[in-house]
Amino acid sequence: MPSFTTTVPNLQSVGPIVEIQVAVGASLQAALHPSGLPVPPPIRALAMIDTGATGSVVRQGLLSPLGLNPVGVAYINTPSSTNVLCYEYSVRLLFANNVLVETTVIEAPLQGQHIQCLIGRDILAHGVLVYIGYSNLFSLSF
Amino acid sequence: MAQILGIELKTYEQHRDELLGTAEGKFVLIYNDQIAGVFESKKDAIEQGYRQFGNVPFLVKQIVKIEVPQDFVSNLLGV
Repeated sequence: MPSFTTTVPNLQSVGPIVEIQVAVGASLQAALHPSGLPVPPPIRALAMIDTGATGSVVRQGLLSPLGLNPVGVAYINTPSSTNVLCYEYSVRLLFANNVLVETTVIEAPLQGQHIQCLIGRDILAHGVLVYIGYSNLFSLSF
Repeated sequence: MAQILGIELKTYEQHRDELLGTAEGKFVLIYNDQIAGVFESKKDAIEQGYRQFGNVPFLVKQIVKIEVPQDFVSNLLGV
């Protein structure tokens, strides 16, 4: 079972954060291949696993270097807004230990300086999240 | 906000009732004002969209009676 385990000092205050890479999704990569067009390299990002998020989100503008176009829209509710329309993009998320997830993510403004991506329950729906607070570690398996 | 997929969303609204009658729960692929197909999964619809139209904006949407927004409890979201 593909999995990774991450130790975060002060897990309680910092949260379950993990370095990931965001890449062009497999479907677009397959479509680009026959035309000989180059596939943009993945982007590094700091993500937080967020059980309070229905879906996964990337910070607005993060995907620009990948040259992606939207493949859908989603309406979102946040603590301060309701029914906000956002674009969805098809991507591949690469976690540690070569754990790959093909998914769609919503692009939305993310406040704060570090977190560029939220890993939501759309991804957790396919896996097992283990959070061991007293050891400051968590693991995600698929 | 959704100006990029404005035509596709309008096309979906125009065909919504008919799609609900024939394919509720499935995923429709729309490019401009053209309904390009209905698929069992979102993944299949996206694959077909890239294959047929390339890297351009297209709309893959689940055909549902009631749109349920996604919820985010974190105040990291700046909207």
